Amino acid sequence: MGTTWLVPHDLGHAVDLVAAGATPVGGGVALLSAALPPRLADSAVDLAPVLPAGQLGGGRLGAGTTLARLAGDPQVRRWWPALAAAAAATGTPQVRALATLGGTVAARLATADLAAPLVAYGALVHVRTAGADRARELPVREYLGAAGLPPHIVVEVELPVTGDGAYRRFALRAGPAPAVATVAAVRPGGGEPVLVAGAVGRDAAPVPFPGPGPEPPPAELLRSDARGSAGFRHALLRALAREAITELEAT
Amino acid sequence: MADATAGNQAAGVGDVVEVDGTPVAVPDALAAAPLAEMLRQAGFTGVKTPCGEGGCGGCTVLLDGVPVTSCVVPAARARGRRVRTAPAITADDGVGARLAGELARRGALQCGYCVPGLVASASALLERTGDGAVPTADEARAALAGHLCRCTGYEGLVDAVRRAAAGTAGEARPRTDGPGRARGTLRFAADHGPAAGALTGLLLTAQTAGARVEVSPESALRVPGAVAVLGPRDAPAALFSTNPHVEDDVLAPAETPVFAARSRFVGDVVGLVVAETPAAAREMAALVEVRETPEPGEPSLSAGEAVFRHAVGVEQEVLDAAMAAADVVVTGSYVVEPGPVAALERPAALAAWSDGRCLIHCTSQTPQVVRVRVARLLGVAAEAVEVAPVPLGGGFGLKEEVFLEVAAAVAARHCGGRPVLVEMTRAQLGALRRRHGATVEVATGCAADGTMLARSVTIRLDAGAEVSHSALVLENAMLVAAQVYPVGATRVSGTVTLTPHTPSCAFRGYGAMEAGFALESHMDELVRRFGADPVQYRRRHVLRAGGRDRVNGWPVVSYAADACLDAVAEAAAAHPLAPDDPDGRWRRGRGLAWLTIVSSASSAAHLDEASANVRVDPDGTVAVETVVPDMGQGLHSMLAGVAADRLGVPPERVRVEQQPATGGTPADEGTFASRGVYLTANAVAAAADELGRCPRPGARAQGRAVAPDNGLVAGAQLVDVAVDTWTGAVRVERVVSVHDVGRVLEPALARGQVVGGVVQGIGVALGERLRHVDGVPLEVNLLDQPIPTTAAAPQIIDRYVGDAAATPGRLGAKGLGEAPMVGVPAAIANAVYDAVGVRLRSLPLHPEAVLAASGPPRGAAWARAQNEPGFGTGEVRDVDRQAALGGPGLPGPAGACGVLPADPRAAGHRRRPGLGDPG
Ligand SMILES: Cc1cc2nc3c(=O)[nH]c(=O)nc-3n(C[C@H](O)[C@H](O)[C@H](O)COP(=O)(O)OP(=O)(O)OC[C@H]3O[C@@H](n4cnc5c(N)ncnc54)[C@H](O)[C@@H]3O)c2cc1C
Ligand code: FES
Ligand code: FES
Repeated sequence: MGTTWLVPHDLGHAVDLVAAGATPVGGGVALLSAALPPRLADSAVDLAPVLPAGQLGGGRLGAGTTLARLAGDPQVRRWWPALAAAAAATGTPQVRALATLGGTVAARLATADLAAPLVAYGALVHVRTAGADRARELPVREYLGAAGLPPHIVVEVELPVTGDGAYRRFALRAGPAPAVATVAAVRPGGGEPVLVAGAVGRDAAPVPFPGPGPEPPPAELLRSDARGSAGFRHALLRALAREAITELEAT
Repeated sequence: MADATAGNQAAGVGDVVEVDGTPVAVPDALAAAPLAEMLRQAGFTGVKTPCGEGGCGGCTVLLDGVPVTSCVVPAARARGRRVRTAPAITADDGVGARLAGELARRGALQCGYCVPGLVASASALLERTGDGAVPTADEARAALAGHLCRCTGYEGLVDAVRRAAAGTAGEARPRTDGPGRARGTLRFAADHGPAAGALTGLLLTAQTAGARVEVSPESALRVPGAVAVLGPRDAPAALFSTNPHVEDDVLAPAETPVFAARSRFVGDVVGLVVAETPAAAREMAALVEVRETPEPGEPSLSAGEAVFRHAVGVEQEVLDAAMAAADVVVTGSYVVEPGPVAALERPAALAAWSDGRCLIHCTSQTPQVVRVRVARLLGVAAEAVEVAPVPLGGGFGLKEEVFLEVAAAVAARHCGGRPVLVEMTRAQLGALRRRHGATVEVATGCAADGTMLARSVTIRLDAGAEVSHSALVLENAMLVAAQVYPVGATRVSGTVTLTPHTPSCAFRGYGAMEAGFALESHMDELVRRFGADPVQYRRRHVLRAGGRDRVNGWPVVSYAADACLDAVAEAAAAHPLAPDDPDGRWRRGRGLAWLTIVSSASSAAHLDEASANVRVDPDGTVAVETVVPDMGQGLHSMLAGVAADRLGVPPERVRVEQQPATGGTPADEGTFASRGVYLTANAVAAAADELGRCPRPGARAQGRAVAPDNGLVAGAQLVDVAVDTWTGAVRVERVVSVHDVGRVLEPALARGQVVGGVVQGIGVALGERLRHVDGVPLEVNLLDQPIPTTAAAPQIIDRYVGDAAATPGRLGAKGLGEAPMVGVPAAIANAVYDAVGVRLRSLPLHPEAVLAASGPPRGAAWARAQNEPGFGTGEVRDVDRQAALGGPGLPGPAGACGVLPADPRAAGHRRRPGLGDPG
């Protein structure tokens, strides 16, 4: 009856259980929330005991890192400030205490705050699938936009690039709320700004700005949904980009 | 999957979670279930589950000291860890107890349904800041950002948390029910389920509209823990009206089936599964076969059938003549989209049968009516049904009805009398109840100097799939429209239309907000057109004491219109509008709305009445006996205060005993409109007055109050906004809220009502809505609704005026429950106009609409007089809402305005049905 809760011995075991049809559980926030799409299957694998958490060195972050930790970690704030700001802007304090980096990426929600800064910092998602004894790396944008991924576990996220960064979002109310549009602006190694738009694409993958200025990607690439039209999102992106660039210039 | 079992944790000490010091086993069957559900099933009343979505914070507990929303924590994750819930957090005599003490005061919490969860976050905050350090208001608001409160507007809660940190006691007295609500020990309706060992009843709802429904139980009954599956054939065939106030073939027809054999809308209740546990009920609901066979050929609902028509005021010919005589006729069409009510406690009913008697715990604002109606539907004597006394976790009209009680009673009887708890999920609620949609057309014929000579108002209410409250809501909206400005020739007409959508329930204001949005937006258009001062223009036209109620015919005796206008003008002058931002991005504007609303449900046809008892016990303490629940507004505390005051006994010696609704307890219809003070409190005053001052132990008196009129209240709300010309976002920065209440009985409770109502009005104005696309309700989750969070913190200035001596009733006081929300949406729309020069005639003022309408960002400031008692005019630019909506690809109703030539034929005025014409 109900969902069987499985606690794996190690990561390999967890990968096998997932390959056999069990749902991987990170924080469980999206899986249990009645308002979000992912659902538990007949069995669930608790990833908490087997996933790495925190900084693993070399720009690698464990998939088990909670968003609260990501937001508060001095190293993350220093080297990837736009990512820390996006984590701090995600959901509520209680949600951030639970949600994991891996689960947030794997949930592939179209409104995800983390997505734009991860793309801006050129993140690679390390995934484990059954039968492979080491993780495969996928650029985060590819991962978020891919259709029909095989059963897998996100083990870590690698951020090859560091740099100043700013993060802006727009939602339909002040305070915690799903984003209608987000912008991450980062300056890899102090160079030209790279701007990436989140929560606006036709799938969970963020959309890069065409240039370093505030001119957003064309409205044809953007999504219309219950929270706003593509045209509205286009206008929001310009506003958010101007703010982010201003902040970046001030750092 | 051989490995699967190998992966399971062995049962043992690791399976146990320590909850408030008590070890609680997490059985494997519940390991993946929400921790909140497990805790509630285990009887921890400090864990509420308003949403089950992770977003409202009501279920927050401390997990190893960290606040988490326990509805999105798999129960297994708590194994081997420590959970603390509000009763334990507040039990020590340190910071937790201080928190509970401060939150329990008048003006802090209201219904308290959000508070036990908030206590967890607040205690963690105070732990972090350390002893004696007081978080700033901003820090406190940030720490509490994950808690939605629908009642308070947060101010009272934030202040209480900061006082607890400082160790400074507030000045306001504790509420009588404050400690129980703050600590999470008070049992709300659904909290009685686990204690009673109740079965879980989960509603089955329709996926399509207009389909014949059959429920086949077989597959669901195979689920371990399954008890029963009920469908249309298992319920009484009789239909009922959910409207508790009238039963009438036209006004409130018997139209609601217990379980629909033909679905009327997506989300209609078609059956119920009953199981030993919530998890089993969910599994049953996933497996049960509900066959929905489309039944074409009955398009009555989809045709948008008008089922009720009404008109008041002068005959059409008189109106036409007055319009023809006017120098100018200004017209406007205004739209209020349907939206959620969003009380935090979800509607629930727990029923059990024993010896042919049914005991019900339910979330009803009208328990006496529920009792009688359930008995009749179930074919038992009214004496055989009792509705137990429970507090409510907010109502705002959502619970002003007879609803789940019938299904719960049917299910419990089906299950041999065993208690069955039926609680709708948040998404089910989103599809089952909403506030009304309205389209209001206003035409005003004016003299060249702006004097209003003739007015026509047409209100079309979209009821959804049931009439329910709609005819009465329409009548109330029409009453407001007919009264507020007694223009010589006024005609108000209206219709209620059925659509195959979510049915509409009562909502704060009962139509007054919808009518008010149209009328006050329109007034602002007239003000602009005639270059008038907003306050003075209203002063020229408002109803005053001494006038006549145009609908009921009685003289208006208490209506402090001039005092309200004086107060709002004074506040406007004292608090000038802040200038636009220097870079021109944020533009500021100020808007005024006048409001009027009734306190009671008295009309020429029916006088509203209430009764209550006051009793002196042998120890000299006093008990006030009432059947009316406290929705959160502080009614019981006010009743206690009234009794203490009249009897001359110390307040701490008075308590309120909410009594079960039976044939032998006071016949008071409940808590709705703004009648708590006007009726129930006056009944308490009558009982206390009969006992006299310092009564002897053993004395007891019954008090009765009859409202001789509807207790019309006046009010004015002035709003300052900042509009972001880059994004269309509207930020409400200041609200002046002036209310004619006669006498203020409890200042702290009054301020709490005002702040809570204003913030609720901001949500209604700026984003909350429930749309349907192809008949499917869209924004059914709480996460879909931009309900204001702690980040909404406008300055709110409250002012009270009134003529207590002229106000009917012993207390000289009128209602304040609804008014503070009612004028806010119109005032905000008018302020947006003042800021950016665009008139948005449709609620909500979605930022996309604001942005599209306001065009490219501009630099020059709009000319306006700032230090006048009123505030001058801005440039007029009318914008078609349709264009403003842009293309989110979703239906958006259109509002429009135009200035018509004076000839009514050219204006398309047509003959309307006469007074009381049937639908
Ligand atoms: C109330 C609320 C508000 C929210 N607000 C925001 C917001 O403002 N911004 C925002 O971006 N998001 C928001 N979210 C979404 C939230 O961020 C995600 O639900 C959460 O981050 C998911 O993380 P998790 O670890 O809990 O994932 P889980 O719920 O555990 O899993 C999510 C999905 O990923 C899979 N999964 C989990 N971990 C892994 C892994 N390591 N490898 C492979 N698959 C995995 C699961 O099977 C599931 O399909 C909100 C959610 C809620 C409930
Ligand atoms: S019930 Fe858990 S957050 Fe609302
Ligand atoms: S007091 Fe917060 S929801 Fe009622």
